[in-house]
Amino acid sequence: MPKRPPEDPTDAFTEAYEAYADAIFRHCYFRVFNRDRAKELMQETFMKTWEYLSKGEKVDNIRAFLYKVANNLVIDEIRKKKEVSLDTLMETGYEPGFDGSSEMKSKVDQWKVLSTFHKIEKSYREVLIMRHVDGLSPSEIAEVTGESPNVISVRLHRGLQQLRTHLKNG
Amino acid sequence: MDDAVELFFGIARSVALTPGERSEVFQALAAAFPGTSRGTVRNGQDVRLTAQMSLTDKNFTGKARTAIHLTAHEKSAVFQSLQNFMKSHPYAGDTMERTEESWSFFDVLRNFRLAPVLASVLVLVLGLGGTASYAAESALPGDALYPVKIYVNEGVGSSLAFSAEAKARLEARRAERRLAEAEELAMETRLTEKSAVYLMQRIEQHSAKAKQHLEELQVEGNAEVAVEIEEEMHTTLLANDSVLQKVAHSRKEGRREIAHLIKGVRELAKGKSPNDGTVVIAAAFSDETGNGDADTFSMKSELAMDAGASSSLSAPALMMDHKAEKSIDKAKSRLETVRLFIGQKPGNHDPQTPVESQLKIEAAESALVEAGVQLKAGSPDEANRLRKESLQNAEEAKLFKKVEKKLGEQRPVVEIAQKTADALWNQSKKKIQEQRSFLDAAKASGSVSVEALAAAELTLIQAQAKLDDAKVKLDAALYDESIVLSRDAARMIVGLKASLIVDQNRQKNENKKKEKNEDPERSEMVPDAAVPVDDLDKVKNDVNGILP
Repeated sequence: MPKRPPEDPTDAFTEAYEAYADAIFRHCYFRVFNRDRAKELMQETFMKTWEYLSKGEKVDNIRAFLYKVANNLVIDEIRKKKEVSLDTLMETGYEPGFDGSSEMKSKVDQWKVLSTFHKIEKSYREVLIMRHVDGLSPSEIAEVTGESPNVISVRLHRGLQQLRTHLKNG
Repeated sequence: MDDAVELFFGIARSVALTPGERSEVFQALAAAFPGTSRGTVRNGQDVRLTAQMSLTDKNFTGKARTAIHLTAHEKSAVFQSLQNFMKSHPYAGDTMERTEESWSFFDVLRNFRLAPVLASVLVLVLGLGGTASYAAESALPGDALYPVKIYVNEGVGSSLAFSAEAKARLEARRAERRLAEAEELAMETRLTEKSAVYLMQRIEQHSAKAKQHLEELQVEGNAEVAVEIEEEMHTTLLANDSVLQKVAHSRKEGRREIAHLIKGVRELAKGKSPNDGTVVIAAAFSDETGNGDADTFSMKSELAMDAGASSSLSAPALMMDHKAEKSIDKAKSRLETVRLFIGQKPGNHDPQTPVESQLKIEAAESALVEAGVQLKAGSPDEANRLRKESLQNAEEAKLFKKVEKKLGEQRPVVEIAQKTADALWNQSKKKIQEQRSFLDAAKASGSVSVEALAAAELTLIQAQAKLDDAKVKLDAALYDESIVLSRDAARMIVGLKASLIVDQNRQKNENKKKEKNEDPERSEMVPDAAVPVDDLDKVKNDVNGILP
């Protein structure tokens, strides 16, 4: 049998980056609550993905793969640093400095969203992010997290309830 | 899914990387994995990053990475910054000045005079990579990681700032950080004279650089943003003044060093208005279309009032409203942001929120509401003043949140000396004001010689300067020194009225002599109404009153 040269994954990788860099970053951001850290985790995710690809491994669904890698990295990250209070994060991650964005309003909104997420229970938060921010289907979420679709559905339902409560209370 | 939830996720989805960040990460990936270098280079910024990265070691491929690491770009920045740091911090000396000479990394290694601390910093930074950069954020002068904070964290920022606006904001941010470091040191009672002097110098340097970039902005025609940044810097200075005072009042040590900082901050704050006024006026006059902006116009009219000139700017007042409303809206957003930062929901009284912060944010809120009212009532200048007051209170609320945790809720004991110092300062202030009024009246009457007026003016200026110093000491809780300075200020002006009256009488006599020579028939002149001679008694009483 003739030897097939390994397909160059460069283009596929570049395309994946273009398509999903923001999404992966966003995902990490709402889970670790720190923009810089989220950037690093996103970079890490793509690096690991490249390593995997450059070894000649095949990936059917690059998107799911990226989320799987990111999810594992985030879990490791959270385990390493015990859940920090939003206070501490504000001192190291976010501070309302005068950074001159004319999109001040959107920054305020984003911050509100961040702090609301922080109030929601971790296991609900994760699935809410994956479903409604990342746009993954419940079965995709199940694949990424390794939980059963049933568990995911329950968490989604309860997560939305918590979210509604927090939004109502302002 | 209902609207609120839909809106919520919509906002969440709007979080994104900036194009710069995106290409920055991509270039980092490209350097580590040559295979990806076929990605598109978007702009000059990317080219620069790539070039810098080609200098670094490319041997990271193939290694499984679970540890945190620096990007290629950050690593080269670290090497360069460590070189600079080690060059300017040789083991034998202990200066904090930077030198511009470059040193090869291998020279450093060969130099066994380096303190062990530096070697461990090296290990720390190279070993922990990104974590060190992260941890360095809270470093203070004297900490091992402080150079990483300055040269790496802040250094990376400067390599990414290209426009005059970005550079101005960067320098302003750096000045802010130095101030915050000084406050932190003061709170930990680690603030030495050397570090206070050093940090104040750095603050002045960064502020000066920021101003330069702001001038560039003005020249480019972007006056609106320049005024905005200017205002932010001013607000920061005033807010930090308050915080420094608070720290001084709750710590027995370090007050003199804090006084040095307060003095420097006040001088910087003063130094701002006159200069910027000139630049802004120039910019506004060069604007052919006449489309100035609200802030420009209101600053001009403020200055016009100061200079006593008549303002020909009342016509564009109607145009101002739109921009003025915009800046009030911006202030509203800022208040919102600070509220969230201090952890308070509007209308709630969260027991977790420090009291002082709460009070400040409430004050900011009411000032802004009043500003809106004033604007509608047709007083844009008053509205602008209130808006600035609001922003300052908001900034103080934010700073106090950080500070109050460290200082605790203790109500500082009002020291007895404080009351005396306070009273004496106010007394001297009143006296100087009286003398100022007297001098103005004398000037207006035209019955005093120019030389006497000039001499009196000079004395008053000197006395005022001394009084300002007394205030600095007072605010830094150095009560004894404040008392001495207040007394000195009052003493300086003791003879002022008398000297003016004496001169006035002399002028009168000379005039009388002249007229007698010209016209012998004329009767005695009626004395000028401006300054009655009875005042001499009042002067005597004043003199007795000042000296305790």
